[in-house]
Amino acid sequence: MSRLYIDLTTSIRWRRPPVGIVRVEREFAAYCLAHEADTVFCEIDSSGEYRALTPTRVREVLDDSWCQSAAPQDAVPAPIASPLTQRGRVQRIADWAAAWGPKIVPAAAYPLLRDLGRVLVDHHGAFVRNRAAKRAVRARLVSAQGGAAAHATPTTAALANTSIAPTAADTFFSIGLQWHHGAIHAYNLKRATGVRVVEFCHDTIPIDLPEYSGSAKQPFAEYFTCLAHTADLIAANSDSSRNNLHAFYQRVGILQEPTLRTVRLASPKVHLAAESQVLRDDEREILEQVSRRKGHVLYVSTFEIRKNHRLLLHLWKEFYVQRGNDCPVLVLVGMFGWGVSDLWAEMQASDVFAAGKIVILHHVSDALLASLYSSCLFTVFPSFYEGWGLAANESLAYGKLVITSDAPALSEATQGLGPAIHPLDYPRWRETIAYYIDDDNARATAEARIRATYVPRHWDEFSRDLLGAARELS
Amino acid sequence: MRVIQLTTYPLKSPRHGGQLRCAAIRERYRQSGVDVETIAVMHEGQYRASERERNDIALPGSSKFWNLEHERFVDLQTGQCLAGDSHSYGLFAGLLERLRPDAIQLEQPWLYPAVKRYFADRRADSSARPRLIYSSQNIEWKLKRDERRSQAPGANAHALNVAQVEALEHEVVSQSDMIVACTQDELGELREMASDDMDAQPRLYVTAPNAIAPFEPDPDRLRGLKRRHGLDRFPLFVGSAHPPNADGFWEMLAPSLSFLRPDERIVVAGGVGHFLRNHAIYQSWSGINEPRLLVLGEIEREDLVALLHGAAAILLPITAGGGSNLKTAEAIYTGSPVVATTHALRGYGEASRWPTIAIADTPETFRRTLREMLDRDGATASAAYSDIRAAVTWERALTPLADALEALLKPRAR
Repeated sequence: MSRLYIDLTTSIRWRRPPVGIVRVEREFAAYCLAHEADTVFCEIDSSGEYRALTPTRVREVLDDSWCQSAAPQDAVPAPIASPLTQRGRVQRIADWAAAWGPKIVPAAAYPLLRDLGRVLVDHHGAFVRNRAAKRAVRARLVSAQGGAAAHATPTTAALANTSIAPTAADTFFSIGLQWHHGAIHAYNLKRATGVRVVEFCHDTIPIDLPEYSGSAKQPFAEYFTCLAHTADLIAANSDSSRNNLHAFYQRVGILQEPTLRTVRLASPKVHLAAESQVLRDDEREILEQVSRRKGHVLYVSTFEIRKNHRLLLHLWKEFYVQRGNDCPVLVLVGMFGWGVSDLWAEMQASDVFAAGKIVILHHVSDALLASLYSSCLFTVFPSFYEGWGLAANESLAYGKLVITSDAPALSEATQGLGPAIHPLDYPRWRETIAYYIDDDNARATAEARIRATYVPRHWDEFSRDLLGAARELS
Repeated sequence: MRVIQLTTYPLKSPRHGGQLRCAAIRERYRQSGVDVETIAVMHEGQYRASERERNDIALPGSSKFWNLEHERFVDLQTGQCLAGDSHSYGLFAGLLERLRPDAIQLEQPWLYPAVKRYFADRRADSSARPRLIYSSQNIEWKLKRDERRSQAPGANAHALNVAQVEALEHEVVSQSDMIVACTQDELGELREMASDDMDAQPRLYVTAPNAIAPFEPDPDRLRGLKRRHGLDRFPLFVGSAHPPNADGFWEMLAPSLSFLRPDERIVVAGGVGHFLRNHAIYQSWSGINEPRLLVLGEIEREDLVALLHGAAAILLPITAGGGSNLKTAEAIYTGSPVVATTHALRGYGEASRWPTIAIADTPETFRRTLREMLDRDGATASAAYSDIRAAVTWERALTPLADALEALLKPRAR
């Protein structure tokens, strides 16, 4: 009988609120845990071998609390009046020093020092993880010698499990942040066992839009090439991603493409069930402040250059000049990303930010995010390019209008239920956003249309579709 | 019978194709009882003194004839310098006077200006000139013309130099008593060049393709190389530091090496590695290409032989250039599977029909053919292959040349 194997490495290593890719792996794994008996879950160990996880360990990892285990300060949303407190300690020190510190270096150098500090913190984090891994290996050795089994941590308990041994009749799912963990491990497993492998294409941004992804183009080209030699099936989250991956394989001359299938993502159920009662006091305070007077417009997305926050900053500057205190608050929810140092500096220095009409929140709990969605006027998504656009889809799941850019994947994600505008068409964005801010009836009509026609898609459906596509292989 | 062989590189320790060919010709002549002396003439900085033989002439680097801006024409300048620099020419003419050859064999046309001056001097003395043999390796002016695609801009100067090479080649051909080419096609071209000369004298024409000296691999070497570099089944590409080698490689393997699996690498032997990595096609997808190349650089002959015999496929993606390629002969000789362009097989007649050779003239077929070779179990050459192997040894390839030399010199034999 064929078995399913699921690589859970991404979920195990991700201890913050999940981003889209992490959510894909977690939701699929949770579905298989509940509905697919005999599924084997595994993790890549330090030698590149896949080790089976115990059922207890899998439940522990897939529990919501696993993603809320970051340092306590990370889980606290920013007070509106002082968004800076939401940011990392290194950033706060650097920004304080830029404003008030001794003028040892030119003020313009402080952002550089801050970025350097972040790099050092990242390296320190890597050092800590490496040390922990070494300790775990040592503990495992001791455990193997029978001396310290009673003291084994959950991690060492998982590592103590055996290597997986799938057969050619089985299916191995490798759908998380595989470029980070090493796509070569699944390739090696495939070569050694002949197992059918299913991989996932979340987007091809580093290849098609390298200007939005640092210097990741070449590593991602190799990553997707490795996938082509590994996977029997690559599922893509949208037709747009699938087409782009196919185009990439044509460009680099892959001789035999694996099967490419679109398996669209879903909106998380948990948000639909969220209630404001579960908010902590500080979260409730945030919600009250952003919703005061004219309410808020929401953009859920990593704060990075591709997401086109600059357009929104300029729009809100203009709205604030025109409307003063009647300007609604723009709430930006998401992690700090790449290439926005100058934008962040510009934003902090602006009157509209100082007036609290733009608020940035990081590491927001599901409950607060649900409340922000439920109470917003509408959402926006002016990104230059997306592989899918989970947050745009999520907005519709809450019955909220979303104004998006005309990136093809966003049109798929929103089922064509919101205005789609070119990301650089400033006048049209201004006109459309102003229209939906000011016209309650227009918003109500749009929301009624969404309620009537939006076809919600849940993670169970996504998981069933992904399993179905995999089973078609046999 | 005495023959003076003129080259622009020493033959003491032959490594590159030209040296190997000239050394093989010298050896073959000697086997036929001909007294052969070689005079290699080169810029004093080109080879170490220890690499030169007793008759070799190192030209002074301070000579006005050098123009390093046109470094691809140093060989042309070498001939001009030898003829124009009175001290060097004196050494050269003195050697010829002392050795009194029956024939002078020019390996490539470069040193002809000095030979021409020597012949003029002999005419003034009313003495008979030795027979002149032009031993070509390419149609040089075309090769130089085509090199420009890989070189820096400078079209006018390049064209002028190419024109000089063309004129030189025509003159050498018209003055030669015997003409040797590597391939039938090139012999045809040289014959045509010679027919431009209305007062053409009767001359001999002979084809002598490039070949190799028999070699046998050392299995321990191969095992050691495989262990050291983590190799299993591997394709091999051998190329010198010559830009067209990299052009051909990427022309036939474009757009990238993505058809190779993540754990497969093309082993690159010879100086071409730097040119491969600087090529625009490499750089477009360097993330894919770099992990699929194992660039070894210049390696010992014994290691090269081991790799040639151990390769799952030998690549001959040659798309430009004249002559016939020693590396084609080496590849054929090993009996390993070979994927080659038609151009790579010029000069080897029926090679395209041989069992271990697959012809691929488009990037798509070249890549697919290589993929298939890597996917199937290594085919070994049959016992009958020994005849094919013999055809690419110097022994067989140079026999017509030795016979032609004998015919040329017979009436004058002392």
